Amino acid sequence: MKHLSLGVAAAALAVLTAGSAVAQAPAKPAAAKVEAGPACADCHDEAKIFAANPHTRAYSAAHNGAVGNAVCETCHGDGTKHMEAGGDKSLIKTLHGRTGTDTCQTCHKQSAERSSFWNSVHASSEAVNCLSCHDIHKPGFGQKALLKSDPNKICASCHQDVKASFTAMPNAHRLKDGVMSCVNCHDPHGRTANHAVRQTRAGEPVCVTCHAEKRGPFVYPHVTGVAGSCTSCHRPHGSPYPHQLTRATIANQCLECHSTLSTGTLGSQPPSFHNLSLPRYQNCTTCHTAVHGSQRDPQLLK
Amino acid sequence: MRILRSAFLTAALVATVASGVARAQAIPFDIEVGYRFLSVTGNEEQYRSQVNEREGFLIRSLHIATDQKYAAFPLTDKLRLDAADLGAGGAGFLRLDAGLTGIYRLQFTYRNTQFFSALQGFANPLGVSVGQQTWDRTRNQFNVDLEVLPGKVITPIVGYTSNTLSGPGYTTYHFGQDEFQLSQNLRSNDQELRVGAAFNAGVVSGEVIQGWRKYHETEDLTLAPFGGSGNNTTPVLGQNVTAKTLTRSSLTDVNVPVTSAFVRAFALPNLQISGFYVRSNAVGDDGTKEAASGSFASFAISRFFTGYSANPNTSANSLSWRAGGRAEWHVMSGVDVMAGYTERDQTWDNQALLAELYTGTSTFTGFSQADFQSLISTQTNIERKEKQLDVQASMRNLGPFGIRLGYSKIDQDLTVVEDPAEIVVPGNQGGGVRRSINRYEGAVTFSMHGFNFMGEASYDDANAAITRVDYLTRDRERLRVTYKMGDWLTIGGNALWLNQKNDNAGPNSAYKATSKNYTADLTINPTKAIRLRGAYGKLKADSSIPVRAPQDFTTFTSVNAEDGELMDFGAGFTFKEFSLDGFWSRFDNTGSYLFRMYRGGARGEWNASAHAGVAVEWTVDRYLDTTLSSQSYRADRLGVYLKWRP
Repeated sequence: MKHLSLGVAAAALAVLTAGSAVAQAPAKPAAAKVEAGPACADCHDEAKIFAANPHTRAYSAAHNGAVGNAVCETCHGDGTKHMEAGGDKSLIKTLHGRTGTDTCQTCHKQSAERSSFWNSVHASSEAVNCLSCHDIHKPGFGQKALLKSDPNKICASCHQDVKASFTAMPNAHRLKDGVMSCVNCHDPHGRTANHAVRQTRAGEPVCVTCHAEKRGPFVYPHVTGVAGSCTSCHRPHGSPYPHQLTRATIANQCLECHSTLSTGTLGSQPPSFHNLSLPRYQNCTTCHTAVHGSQRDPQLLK
Repeated sequence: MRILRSAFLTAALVATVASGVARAQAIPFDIEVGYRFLSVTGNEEQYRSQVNEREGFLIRSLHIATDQKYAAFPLTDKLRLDAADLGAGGAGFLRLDAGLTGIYRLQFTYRNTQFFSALQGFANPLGVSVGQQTWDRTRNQFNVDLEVLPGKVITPIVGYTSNTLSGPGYTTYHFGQDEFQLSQNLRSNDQELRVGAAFNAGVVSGEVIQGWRKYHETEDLTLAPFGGSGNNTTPVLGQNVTAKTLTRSSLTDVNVPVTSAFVRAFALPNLQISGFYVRSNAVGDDGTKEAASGSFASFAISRFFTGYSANPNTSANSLSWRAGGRAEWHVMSGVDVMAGYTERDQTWDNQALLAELYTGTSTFTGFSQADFQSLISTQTNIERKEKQLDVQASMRNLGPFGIRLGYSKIDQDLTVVEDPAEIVVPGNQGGGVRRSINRYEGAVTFSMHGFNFMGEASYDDANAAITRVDYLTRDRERLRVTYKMGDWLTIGGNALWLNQKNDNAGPNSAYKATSKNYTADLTINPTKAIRLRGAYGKLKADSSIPVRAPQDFTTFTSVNAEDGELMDFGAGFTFKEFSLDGFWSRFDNTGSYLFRMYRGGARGEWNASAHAGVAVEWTVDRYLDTTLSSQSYRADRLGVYLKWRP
């Protein structure tokens, strides 16, 4: 009940805030005048195709249909002197590196629960910044979100070790097919904690977004979400072993936790009839098929 | 049948898209459609378990993108559709992003993945030709999100997700002191409907979403042909254990309402404060009917028996909430400080009523007995609490340098109340565990004249472990160095070191795990028409931990070792209307499991005109399993595709 009331309170706050904002919404600016002088597009091809860019659409929608130089000047500053000087590059703001990021963040500055345009790990330096991945002038068949190229290629340009794992390992998620990309599991605008791995809205590991049958809740749960996570046993970036497991043999995989050699940890010892010298017992999941959790069997047999 | 179906679907999609484009000729449109041939030598089941690209008709790629309004599509001024590998499979997708500025935005995603698993040497140590745990399943995922009046003060949001997994398989079931192979038919569907609104009132904005998730699963199992003799070749207490019939059907339903609210506000132009609250309450019910006949033994009831029926009914509840807040302060240009706190609580409260009837029972010494009925009522409870505090500062305005420093503290509190029915060997299955982790992290970057250096490190220090492979200390360091000369040359190198250990993992030695990855990469584009790249990597991982053998309680060390060498090359060439791209890679792994993996391919394109062309694509995967040579395979795929760009 306490949580419900908190939820209702949050909703009420949202509605009230929005209502007051409607009441206080500023009057729309007068229609922008049509520029009669030289246009950026006279010299810059990027400006010609920029009319269809999301930035132009957003600017036009917010400024009564204004287009043209005003859109360019939003990021590049007043171009009058630049034009008067015949295109002197020192008289116009060019965006690159961290200064480019600062410009992007004049608008794109809002944070979310686990991500932040202000403080994302990928927005914090001259070496890695917004323009490392995005090309705001990208036209036509360019990638979604004005990315410079395919997201996987962009990520691989720095994370070569991860790319190497996907290339090398026989058992890996299908990134090369395009059905998945790095950003399905990682938020590039995320903060650093836990490698910016996404979660479901309910706070579960992102894995269950696809592997929904592993989600539970189970009457007899195993590791996932309770004592560990999916990565306790699986390697999402690829593994030499089937099912992207972390160990070559199932018995070792299980016994590393299920050995009562430590104090104060969870993981019971298998009974003595599990004779590992017999093939029948070397693969625990031959019998314990419901290893991700069972609705009906305490020993995860079904 | 699958090829015919994929051909039909491919044709239908192409026809639909083509008719749409015909009405709006000017919309940029690019499609590549054709047929992919497949040739596999060696172990096809291993190929399907690892790669699973199939033969058949394929939409290799489809792109439609426009940012203009067309008479034929008056309801959009932005339309983007991307699709790839739809048809023969094993993995394809379609994404649509459409909208009318300031009016609506619609995003739709479809993903199809075909899973196959038949791993003889791994999931079936008994070595029969068909793996005991084998499946051939298809996952279809749809996701649609509609935002109305995006960017306005109030933006209503409606979303729907469906995720269906279905298909046949084989599994095993340990029953009556033997394991029997069962034919399995599984279908699960996970759906979520979401309704909510985002609001943007200038300094205050946020989002409130209410979702209803519903999971439904049916599973039907019957004794597989020839599965009745089981795995156990020796009698149990002098009696052969065999199954004549074995069936099980189960129905699982889970309902989960999820409420989330997020609010952010700019208290000052340079100070952003945000808060969130999420609550979900999963309620699951499961009903199962199971029956078996044959000759079985049960140590639990100390009897032989010839028949069995059971109707377990169970329910699982999981109530979770998390809440937190964060402040981000833009101190001055290039200097930021932020701090956040999150608290999370999840409680599982589960019950099961297991009613079992054993018929035709006799004692282990041969005396006939009446039917035996057992009724087990179990109740399990788990509570997990977590608190996380993090503080971070970044300075990105130090000339060519950027610095980031952070500290976080996570407190975990786990209480597991197990039921006596769960306990086979007493110990380590329940109780309370508390773990506290301190993490210190930092990063430094340097950038000048095309030279980039990025280094990051984190050091974790925990006071306890929840499972034996949880670390007590963990160090992670990563370096990336690149030099870029214009658009024609890039040289890069990566190094990653990871060390973690737990000194309390065993009586004689600790749990240790290390990982060392080194990669170097080179990209040369001497002209716009020629593209060359190469990479070399060493991937090394080692871990060890003492474990206890169940049969005699002796201690031995579980060791995992990987030592891999990767070479990866690519080249591309464009001349007028022709282009050719190729790649080749080799990965050689030694250590606990020896194998070598070759991957290669080439793609040639001839753009006969601005509107049409032909593409030929060849890819090969060659897996040489040194440990278990019967697992090796070579798979060649050759695709011939027509390109059309009206």
